[in-house]
Amino acid sequence: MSFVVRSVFLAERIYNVDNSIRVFPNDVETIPLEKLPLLDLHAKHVDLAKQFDKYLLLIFLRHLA
Amino acid sequence: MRQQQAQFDRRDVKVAVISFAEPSKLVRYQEHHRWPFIMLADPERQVYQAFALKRLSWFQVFSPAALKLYWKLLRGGMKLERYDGEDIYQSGGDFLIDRDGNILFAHRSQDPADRPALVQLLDAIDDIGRGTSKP
Repeated sequence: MSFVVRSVFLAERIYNVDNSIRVFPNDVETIPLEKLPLLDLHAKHVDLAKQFDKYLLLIFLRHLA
Repeated sequence: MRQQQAQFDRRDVKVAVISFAEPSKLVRYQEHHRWPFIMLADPERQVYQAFALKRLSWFQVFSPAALKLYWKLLRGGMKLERYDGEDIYQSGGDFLIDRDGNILFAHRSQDPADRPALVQLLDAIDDIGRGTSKP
């Protein structure tokens, strides 16, 4: 599953490529969420696309405290 | 956030918390905090980079707003846990994504105190649900 990703609020775009994650801006408009290298607490890969039905709020932490 | 989980549930919003810490450290963190959300690790910070979350400068990390936040947290009884080796300069952020892949809300923190308020997130979600969000 690939996702067209755009920021409606900030009029910015997140760009990505097929297998390797790249920083925007770039010229590719899809981001394969299932391929993002996210790990669960058991260090197993997580398919982000399977984690939600309607909306997903991603909260990126700074350092742990 | 924990108390407001019902408000996210009511809006069909799943919450995932992402850290650049190793999963083993996140286990310890989660044992302490017990967040009712999905906890995910991005130790290589590839996802942070994909979402353009940069490292902050010293002046941003120790901005007056950040120092005020730290002081408030410490006065409120927050106890600092030691997670050695953490990068204090990495910025955080908040993104709301829908099933069509749109990022409906994006906030990249400019200093440690710069986070959207819960009510701001909920208002954004409600605006999106009503179709009144600004392009």
